[in-house]
Amino acid sequence: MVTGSSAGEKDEHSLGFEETELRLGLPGGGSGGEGDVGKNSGKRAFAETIDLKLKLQAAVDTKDMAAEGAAVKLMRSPSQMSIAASATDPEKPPAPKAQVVGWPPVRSHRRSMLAVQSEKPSKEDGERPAGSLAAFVKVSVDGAPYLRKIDLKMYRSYQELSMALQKMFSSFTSVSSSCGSRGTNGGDSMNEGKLVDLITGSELVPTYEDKDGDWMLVGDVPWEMFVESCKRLRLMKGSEAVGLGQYISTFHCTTS
Amino acid sequence: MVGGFRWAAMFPDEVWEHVFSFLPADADRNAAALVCRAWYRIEQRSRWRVFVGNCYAVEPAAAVRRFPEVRAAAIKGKPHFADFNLVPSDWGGGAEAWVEAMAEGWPHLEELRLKRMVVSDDCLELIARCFKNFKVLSLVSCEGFSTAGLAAIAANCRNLRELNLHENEVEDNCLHWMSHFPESFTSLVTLNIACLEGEVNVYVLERLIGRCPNLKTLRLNHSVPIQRLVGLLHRAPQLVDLGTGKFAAQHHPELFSTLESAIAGCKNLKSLSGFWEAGPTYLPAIYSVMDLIEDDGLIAVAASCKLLQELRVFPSDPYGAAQPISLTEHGLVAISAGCPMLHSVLYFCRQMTNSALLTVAKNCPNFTCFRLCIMEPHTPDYITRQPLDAGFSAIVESCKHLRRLSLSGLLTDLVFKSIGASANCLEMLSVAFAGDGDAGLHYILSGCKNLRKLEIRDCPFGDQPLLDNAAKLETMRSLWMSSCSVTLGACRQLARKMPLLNVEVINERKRGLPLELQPDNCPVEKLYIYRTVAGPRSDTPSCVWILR
Repeated sequence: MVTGSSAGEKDEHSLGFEETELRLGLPGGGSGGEGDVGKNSGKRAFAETIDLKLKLQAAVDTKDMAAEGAAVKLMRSPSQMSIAASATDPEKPPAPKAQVVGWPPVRSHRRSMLAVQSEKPSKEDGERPAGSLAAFVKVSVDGAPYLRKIDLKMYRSYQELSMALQKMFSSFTSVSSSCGSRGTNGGDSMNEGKLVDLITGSELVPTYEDKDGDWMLVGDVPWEMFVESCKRLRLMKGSEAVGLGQYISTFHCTTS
Repeated sequence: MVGGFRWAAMFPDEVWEHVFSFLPADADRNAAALVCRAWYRIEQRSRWRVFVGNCYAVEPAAAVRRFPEVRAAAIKGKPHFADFNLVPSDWGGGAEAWVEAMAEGWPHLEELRLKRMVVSDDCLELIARCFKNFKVLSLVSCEGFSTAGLAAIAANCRNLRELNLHENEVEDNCLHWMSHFPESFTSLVTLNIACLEGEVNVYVLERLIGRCPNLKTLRLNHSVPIQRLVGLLHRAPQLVDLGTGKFAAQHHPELFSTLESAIAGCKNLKSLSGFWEAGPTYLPAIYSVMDLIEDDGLIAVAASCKLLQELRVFPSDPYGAAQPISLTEHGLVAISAGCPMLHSVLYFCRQMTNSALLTVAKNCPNFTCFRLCIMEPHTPDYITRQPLDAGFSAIVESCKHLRRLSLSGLLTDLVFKSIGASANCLEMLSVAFAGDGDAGLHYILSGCKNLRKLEIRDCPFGDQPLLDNAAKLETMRSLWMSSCSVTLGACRQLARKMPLLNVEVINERKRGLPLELQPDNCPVEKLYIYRTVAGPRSDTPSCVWILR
């Protein structure tokens, strides 16, 4: 993901404390892909980021109203979290807030449960390049009452991901028989079969939320780029995905 | 005691012993012991079980002398907030003093349960060698030992029934510790090794399980693959409680049917834990949900798990930026409506309303434990923007048997007024980022007549309520306050006034003058006050001062 904003704009944003805190909008300050052709032209985002902005705003207001002497409280509580300035690069997502020690009150062994999984190469599981951190994302399927979490680094292509998703949600989906299995051809194509919702018979469209909070169709970008930018996956009912553009019926990948 | 009237001699001692065995609580036995010397002596000889809630409340040797016939001991060490890294790692809670005294004075000890203590391999070896009839070892949230120590236990405790290792930090330096259980060893009833990081030799485990026909509880760690788990279950069809620890089943969903039929073969299974697909077809009494769950999942649980007694929902991403997550107050309300036997809840979420809490309070008047953690401090009711005082007040007013409560969200002193007035059974209260001022703490300390443990962090509570309620502190086990507004002067006053309290000031910053030379208005970072008959302890690290 390349940024094209002017240097002057960046400096402004890196100094503006309040602005960076609320910065969850589209890159470049919402004015569109100024100098950022490569990324924005392919976007079919439909989620409004305005809502997220408002929520953050409200939270900040509440803090101010919370109690008289809030400023005093902050001084007296050395462990009170400090509002972190976000990264100087406005293209990156806002930096995580500084951690309050011991908050939320979750035991460290529980916190690191997923980290332990990702660090220990299990003999049973697929191979992951040694030394890489896991890329866990949640996977939701419209109509299924639970989520799963998968490590994208365990797969090397959209095809492997597709097969894993089919297995994982096999009780809710089936593979439509119109596309016969082509076997592994090493390519990045996910044309092996369409996922079909068992109940309604309608197709499930794999979508993902990327780092900017936009919902994209799976398969548009090269695999490695997808792994880097995918935050969560959602197998959406075909009818809902209509607004996402012309690539509805199959997983599709254009390798660059 | 009426002079000369030895009515205790009406019956032989054994009869009184038998009578005392019906007293349900140690407090009752304590009362009986005060009646006359004879009862004191008889009760003393027949007390087999002791619980020491704070390892520093009494000298180990004194405890052993006081009750010489103890068979089962449970001891707790560090304050609860040690779980969240608020207590310095070298603070204390070492088990050696206790184990040495027990080895000396309780050679017939059969059961030892330690929580939040530092247990060395030497301790484990001493236990293994000295207690000939040792049956139960339970270590919860402990640290300081390794699998080499466990090997000593395995090798020497011929009658071991229970080895329960729950959430400990265990160094893995002896890979084959489980092989130290001799072939003649068949007495295991409970084996919980979920917290062990290292690999477990599944072959050895299979043989162990195969020769222990009374095994009821088996909680494994991550290293047992699903295929082998199936084999273990076939060898232990009598299991009641099964856990797979941190096992990640996500890559083998096709094995689930094999596993499910193996589980179905265990006809007595009542409890499951570990990473599971949602919605097993069993109705477990306690259901630990370790996989991802959101409101919809909880609604499903509410609809099917009618026997649910305890629910714990942890955040999957505690430190991530607040992403839209569908685990809200609705899940909690659904559970409260659908599960009439629910009495214990631990719930993490990002939003809450007073209305939801009122509904929960109405649905579940039988709560004994209610712990709600709204992840962002000072979060109000997200619809009305009001503090959550009304919601939590409803909880304490409705749940007359509430023994444990954890607060969160935006709260004023009003909620403490309700708690102080209504929470008559409350024994443990956890408070964070709440209250307006001293009044809040005063309400708690002047009310809550059964309060034993109070832990507070990041609240604007100061000196006055502590000094005004000093006597209350002696009726409690302990008080923890960190990042509040307490000064050194108040702590000094308290220590002078209350000789039966240890007032520990913890100051980790180590800059400026030593604490003895600091002025009275010096702020106290962390404060731990507990009642004790042992006086100041001798194992304090450099960051802890005990004021006198």
